[in-house]
Amino acid sequence: MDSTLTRLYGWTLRLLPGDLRAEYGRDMMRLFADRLRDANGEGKAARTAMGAYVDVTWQAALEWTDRGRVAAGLFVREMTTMDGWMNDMKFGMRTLLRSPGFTVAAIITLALGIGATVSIFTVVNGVLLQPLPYPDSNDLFEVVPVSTLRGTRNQTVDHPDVRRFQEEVDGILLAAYSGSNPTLTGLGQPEVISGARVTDGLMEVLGVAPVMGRDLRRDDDIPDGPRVAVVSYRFWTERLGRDAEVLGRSITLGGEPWAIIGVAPEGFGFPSQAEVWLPRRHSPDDCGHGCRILRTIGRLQPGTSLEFAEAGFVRTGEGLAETDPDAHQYETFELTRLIDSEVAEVRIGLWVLLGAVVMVLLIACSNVANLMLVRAGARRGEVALRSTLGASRTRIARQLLTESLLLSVAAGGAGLALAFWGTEILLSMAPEALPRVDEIGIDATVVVFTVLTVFVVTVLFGLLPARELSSVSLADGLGSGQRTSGSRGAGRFRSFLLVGEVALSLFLLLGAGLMLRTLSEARAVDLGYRSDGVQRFRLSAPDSRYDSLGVARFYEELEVALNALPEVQAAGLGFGIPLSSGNISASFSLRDRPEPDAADKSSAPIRLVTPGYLEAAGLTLLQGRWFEYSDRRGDRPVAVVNQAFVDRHFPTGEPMGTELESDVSWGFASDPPRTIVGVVGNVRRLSPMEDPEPAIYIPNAQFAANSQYAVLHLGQGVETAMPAVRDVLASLDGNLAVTDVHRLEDRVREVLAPTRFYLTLLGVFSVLAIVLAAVGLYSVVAYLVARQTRELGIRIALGASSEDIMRMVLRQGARPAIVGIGVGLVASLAGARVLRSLLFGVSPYDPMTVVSVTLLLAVVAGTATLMPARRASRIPPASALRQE
Amino acid sequence: MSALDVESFLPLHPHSFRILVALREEEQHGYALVKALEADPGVARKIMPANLYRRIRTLHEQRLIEETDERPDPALDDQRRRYFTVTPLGEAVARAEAMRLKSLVDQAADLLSPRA
Repeated sequence: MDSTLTRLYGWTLRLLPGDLRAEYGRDMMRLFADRLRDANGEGKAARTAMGAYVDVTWQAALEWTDRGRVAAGLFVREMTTMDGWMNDMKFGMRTLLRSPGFTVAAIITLALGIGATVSIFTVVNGVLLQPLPYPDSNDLFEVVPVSTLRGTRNQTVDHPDVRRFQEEVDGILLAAYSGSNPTLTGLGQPEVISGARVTDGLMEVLGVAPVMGRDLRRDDDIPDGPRVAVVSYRFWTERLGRDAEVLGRSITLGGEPWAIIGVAPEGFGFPSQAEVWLPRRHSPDDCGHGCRILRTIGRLQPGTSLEFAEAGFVRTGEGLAETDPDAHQYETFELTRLIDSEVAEVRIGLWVLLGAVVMVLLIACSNVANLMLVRAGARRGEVALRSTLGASRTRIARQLLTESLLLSVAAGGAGLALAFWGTEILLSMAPEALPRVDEIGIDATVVVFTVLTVFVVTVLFGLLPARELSSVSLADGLGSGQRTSGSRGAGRFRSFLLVGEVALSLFLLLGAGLMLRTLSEARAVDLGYRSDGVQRFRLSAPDSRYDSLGVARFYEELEVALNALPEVQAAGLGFGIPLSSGNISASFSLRDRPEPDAADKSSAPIRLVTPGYLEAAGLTLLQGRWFEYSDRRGDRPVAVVNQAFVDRHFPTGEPMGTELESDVSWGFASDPPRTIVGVVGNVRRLSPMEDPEPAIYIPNAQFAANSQYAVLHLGQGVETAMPAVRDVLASLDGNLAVTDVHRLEDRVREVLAPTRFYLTLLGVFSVLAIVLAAVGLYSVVAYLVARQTRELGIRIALGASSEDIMRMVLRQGARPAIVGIGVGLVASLAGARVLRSLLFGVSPYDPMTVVSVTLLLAVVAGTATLMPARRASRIPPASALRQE
Repeated sequence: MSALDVESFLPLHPHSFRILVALREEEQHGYALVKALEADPGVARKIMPANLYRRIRTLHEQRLIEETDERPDPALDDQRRRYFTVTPLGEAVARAEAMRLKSLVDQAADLLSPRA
């Protein structure tokens, strides 16, 4: 019994610190035995033993706490003593200045990494992280109708739906708008300005109020309601000279007078930098039921969650489906936070870029860490001496960390300066699709991010060398002079850094390679229309001066006159055409055909075009005929469909002659049934990366849209023809504003701009990465060679051939490179999924890209290792042996 | 050894004080020390080994006590036990602590005595 208790006591003593146990453990055991003997006399052995166990446990806890407190106090005191810091700073500064090569290389490497990271973060911060510039902007949402059949997400609803949502959904404010670009006259040159047709309550939803006058009200939003307008602060300042009497003043938009009733607050311009907000004034016949042109935004009232509001929309949507199955049968509604819907297009791309640039920063850090480790080898003597003279490990570590901190603060400062410049460059090359560009800038968040980055960078590249060095003992420091490279641990750590660098470089290279493939695939796609040598511009014939017959006649005359110009190879007009703003869709049914499946019944976009459009745009006629000038209003209504339409709706049958009945009703009571007279080739309307959608072409003469794009195939004359074109226009109507003048090829290029943007940046980052990794490999191998000179000399002296020596050195560099490539491949294959949404026509696992990128990296790594290896193989043994 | 040196050790933990006093009387080993301490009616609980030796370790580090090579007659005791004795500094500290306690007691007595 006693022996068990005693043995147990021996075990509990292990709780005490080793030195205390070594000094007094034996005495404690003996005393315990004494106590036990006494207790046995009293029959209380177990109780006494238990008391002793508790005692040991308690004393151990006290002892460890004491020691922890002392150690922590010491650490904190040594780390925070200010005068010590000043000394460390001075000393660190001197040390760094003594080796300017190292210092400059380290600062440049880190500054590039930090500068690039901060630049990208500035963009991410402005676009993705900062709240929208409205009060409580997180409560703002957009209503997104979703097709339950196809899962496609639409963005527009019609006016009756908006009213129903406003009435039936609890806990929200709701407003709707559609973009509108009216021509402003009477204030200098006619000019098309950005504006919006809105329901009441847009400003209230966004949480702002007019600085003068009032916002649009419910009683403004009625058919043929008053012509009133709210103007932007900028409009008021720049066009109206801050007129204090502006309320009630009239401006002319689209040839009609509108009375100003309010001025929006400074900086407010929702949507798309609007300058005027006008009531819709559409009658239900004009643009009511089925006229889906409105986008809706809402605000959650206090206490309402997004989920609750969404449930309300879904419920109302079910009600809509019951009362109006045609339009709503296969539809449900989702809510997206406004910020998410504004930045949805670029979110993944920007995060990918930030991830990529952080990888570059990591590579830069590990390069500098490697340099520090190499230096650490050379400084062991110095450190050993200092520790002999009484410097504690903490003090030495602090000294080394101070040097790292000096480096990274200098690099951080330079990096922040680079970031000002880098952000400018980014913005200048940013695609037009990048939202919230105005909100991008270096602000407090960015500065805090930079400071944090500097801190993390210091720890990343400074801590391990500091740890490594501060444990140097006198013997291994002074005894071995400067030949020592550091411990095995340092060697392992160096290899680990190299593996990481190579792996990250591979990852980045693969990303850049895949973007390159994407761009070339997208360029190779047949758009279905001509883009070279094509000039386009937009015209809006105001409905105050042109009725539907007049506008059709005007555009026909214009087309004929343009085609008569010698500079013009072909001219045509169209609405809803590729890469243009404005698009209408209509539900339709095909007569004399078995009811198509309900999904296909939904809708197709309508293109309103002239007879000249086919040739001007370079479409291909596949079957039947195109429109002619004889296809007028009142004649037989005709339509042409595209191949995608035929593929979907006539998989086996014959489209020609089929009657098509659409419910398009914008501007007319209804559209008559149309006969399909031709089939044209597909076009990719918005992007080469999208699949062609089924579409219906209708002759403009039979429909008459007021707004049209003129498409001019000018060939070589694309530079010089515009004056003659303007003369023709002026001779027909001098008061029409010509807007959105552009070359179609520029537009096509813009569509690919985001891809090119990602490609450029990933390309730059991966080049940076591979250069840094190569430098890292080179310097480590070169350093190892220098360190092993003596050993290599002995080997050569003993008969090793220069091939043997080369092989031996190459192995040292090749191992981390090969492991790095392996790790990089595995990581890339696992991580490439995030790129998928940015890619087109190429799989994230594209074997060709993977193989070529791997080969490229292998060649670079091989070259970086080969140079020091060759030098090693030529070491003259005699001089190597003499080397100390 | 200045007064300041001695003052810096005060106040002593009661156990440490008793150890110093007990060692002033004669050199002792752990078990004897425990017995001596527990003989004091002021020590209600048994003193356990880890507690005692942590205290001895501290006093030793503070140079208030030291180990001694002198042993009683081997016939009377176990040679493996370690004996401790108080140092001159320890003695001064114990004396100072005694004075401190005495003046504390005197003050209290003054304050608590029924007023005339």
